[in-house]
Amino acid sequence: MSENPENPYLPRPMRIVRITVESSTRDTRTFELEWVNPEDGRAFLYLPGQFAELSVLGSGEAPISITSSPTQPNLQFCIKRMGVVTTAIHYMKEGDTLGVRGPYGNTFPLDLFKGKNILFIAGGIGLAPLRSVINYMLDDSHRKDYKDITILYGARTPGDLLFKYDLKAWGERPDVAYLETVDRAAAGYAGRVGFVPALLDQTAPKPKDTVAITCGPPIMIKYVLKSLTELGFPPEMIITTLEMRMKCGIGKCGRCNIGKYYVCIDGPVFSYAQLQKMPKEY
Amino acid sequence: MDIQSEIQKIAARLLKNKEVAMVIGYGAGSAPNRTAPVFIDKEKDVGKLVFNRFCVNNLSLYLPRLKEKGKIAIVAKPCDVRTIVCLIQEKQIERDKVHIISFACPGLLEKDGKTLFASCAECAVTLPPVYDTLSGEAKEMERNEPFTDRVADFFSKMPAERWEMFKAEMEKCIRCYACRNACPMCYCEECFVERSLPRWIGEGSEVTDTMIFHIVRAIHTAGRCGECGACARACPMDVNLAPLAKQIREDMLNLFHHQAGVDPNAPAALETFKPDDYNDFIK
Amino acid sequence: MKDKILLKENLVSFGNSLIEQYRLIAPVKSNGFSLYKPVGNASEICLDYLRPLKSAKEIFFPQNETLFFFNKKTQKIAEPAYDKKPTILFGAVACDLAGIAAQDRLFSAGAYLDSYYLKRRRNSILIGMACPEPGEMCFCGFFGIDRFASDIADLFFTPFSDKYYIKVNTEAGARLVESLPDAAAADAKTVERLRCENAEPKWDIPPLDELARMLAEGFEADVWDEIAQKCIGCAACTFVCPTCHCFDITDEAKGEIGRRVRTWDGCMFPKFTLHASGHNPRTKGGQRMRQRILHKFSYFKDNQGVVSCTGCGRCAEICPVNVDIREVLKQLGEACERKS
Repeated sequence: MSENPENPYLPRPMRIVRITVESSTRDTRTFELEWVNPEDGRAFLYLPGQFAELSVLGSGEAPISITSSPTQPNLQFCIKRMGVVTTAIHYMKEGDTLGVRGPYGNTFPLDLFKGKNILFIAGGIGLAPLRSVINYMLDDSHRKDYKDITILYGARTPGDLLFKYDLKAWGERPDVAYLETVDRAAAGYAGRVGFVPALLDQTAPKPKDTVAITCGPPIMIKYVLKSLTELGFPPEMIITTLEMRMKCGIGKCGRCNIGKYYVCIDGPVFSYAQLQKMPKEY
Repeated sequence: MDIQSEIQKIAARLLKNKEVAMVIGYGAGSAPNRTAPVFIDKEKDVGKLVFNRFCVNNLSLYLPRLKEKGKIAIVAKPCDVRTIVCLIQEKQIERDKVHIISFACPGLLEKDGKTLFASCAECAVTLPPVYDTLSGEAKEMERNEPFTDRVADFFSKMPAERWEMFKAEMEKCIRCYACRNACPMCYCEECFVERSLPRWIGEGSEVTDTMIFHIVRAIHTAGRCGECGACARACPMDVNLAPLAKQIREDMLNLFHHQAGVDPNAPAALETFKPDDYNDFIK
Repeated sequence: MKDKILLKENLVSFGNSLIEQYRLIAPVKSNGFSLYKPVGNASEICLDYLRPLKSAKEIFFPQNETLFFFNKKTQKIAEPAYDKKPTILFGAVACDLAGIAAQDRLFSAGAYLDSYYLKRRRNSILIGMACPEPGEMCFCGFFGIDRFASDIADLFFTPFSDKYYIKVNTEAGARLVESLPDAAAADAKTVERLRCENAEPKWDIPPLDELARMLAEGFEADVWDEIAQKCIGCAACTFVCPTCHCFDITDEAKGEIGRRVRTWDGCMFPKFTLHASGHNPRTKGGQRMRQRILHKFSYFKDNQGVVSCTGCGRCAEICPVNVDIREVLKQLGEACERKS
């Protein structure tokens, strides 16, 4: 029969060029990577929302969302130390090599977003995948495609606010409304205290011509979906991303199966309208 | 009255008087010479309880997970009662929250309907060590050659030959964990085989990993195994797990004078220390 | 392509004629049952049992498979050597062939082809064998599977009197039986009669299309907890299943050298969906049972166009607590009936 297909399970080597410690507890770091073989990079064409399988030989693979924007030169992954692989990655130093395969999954519906007001609602490390699309939209080449951009971001403590350099830049931009909150204040913090859904209720954005994009811990998403619905956002205009345990990333291993969907190929980006039709198994 | 009718009568009485919230017993299987666990909580359903020589499961595995329902009655073979005793000793269940419906056990048959299970043929416990209600008459069962001889036979072989025998048996294993999951004493929330930080053994069916799983499981059940044989009967691949368990049973008996699950008032083996305990392994 | 005839007494010599050029896999006796195994001499072939204890899926999708070897120090990876000798699977029963057809769809579906599966599968020849009598747990007929034929097989053998009738489906199959005598019209009639005489019994299960509707409606039905109450959470059912395809990928290393390996996994294991964070979307036995059944009868059909149960009955046969998939479907039907 026909010739053998390409092996989809082989990771391609990437070198760590920069590690940024993101949280005061040091358990969340952003790893900036460059391709060891430039041709691998040319084949790796991604859009915001997609993820990759990160591979540490001897430890295994973990699916991690891409936090950089394709408008940026290198790939970035924001990783919280959780299991075997993420722990192994945290032990790595700048100059070390890890494996990457992907990009996998669908992308944020950028066509749907065009010409609309965009409302981002993120909690904790849930900002990582949204940061990709935020920086994509804020890039000079794309900013004109979108109307008002509002970013609501919250974390448990001020020390848990990630990407502080980006938060500062967004806060300073006249064409972005950036609001942040923390669950618990800390010494020297003068900002807002309260949960993200409460901030959303206070802000009370208008649903007209607006798409809401949310990502964060499951409990936050639950209340954000409720608030957005009460504010009048139709479920088609609420976009979120799902997290499931994954292995293959290519729709074979069955692990991230929810109803007829595989989060790794049909997701991770879903609209609330889609979620409502899915079994509540996430 | 036959054992089945007696069990049904006892179950009806317990449910009617609200002495128990549920009766765990054996029900009809989906094919001949099989049974399936049933969970009865209404008096009208006691007719679903059956008893025959195909009651292969040790139902006490369900007791810890159902304890929030209240007091539970369980149909238990004498060997199963030994694991209930162990579960009580290990504080997984309370004695006064379980009503043991036991009987003098005639021994179980293989699916062919003729052959006595090896573990039953070797079994000396035809009456339960404790019970709340007892039915049937103790009968002397036909016995195969005594098991100790089989262990002796295994140990009479040269190490290389023993290794080959053990390896051949382990190569049959598909790592489905039916043995572990059918065992009431394997109640750990997280089994060592599933730990990933650190990972103790590989996930696959590499024979050395399989060996480690079975050896560690056998050692973990030392002094706690009631020798019900449910693990071996649960195995889809017919792996002969008995020699490991039986040898450990022998060691526990000879070295520590301990027999699992015969005395509910005695402490568990790993809970006791006697000055004359075997300690040659401490050098 | 003309159908052929092989005398039963010539089966061993026919088998041995294949071994030179092919890796021959066939049912082999293994203490009290049979298993599909590589055969060194065709005399090892054993057709005495109903069907092998495990399905044929591991021939193309082994329980353990090295994806690549690696060296942690040099960061070099190397794919395992691959035996180019083509495989012949001989004596596969129709339910197993249907299982292979389902796996073919999955592993070649979508944008990603599974190279490991496909390189084996594309380098194989399937020889089916009629199953004379369904076992007590079998219900392949419910799915319309013909025990006396299979489109996916290159050749299909049906035993009658002292012969095998060989239905030739493909050119690759035809080449293997070139030298055998052609079947006579009378032989074809005999085999057809045999097939008709073995009509399927009636099934006490809602028909497939109705079942799909019931499954969709009964997603949150309490009956799942009822069905799963006795399930002990092992994965014996998924491991013997001809279509279950879930797997895990892990690294095994000793010092600097190691391998990345994929291993069968099962949705019935409570930890199958456990996140590194500790969150588990399917904590209850009923949810896991629902996943297994819905995946077979609903999700797989939505994605791949076929139901991924072939009625081989193995899961029911080996379940330590007699969870019988036929009973599960029946119970589900009754529960949905009660609801409506």
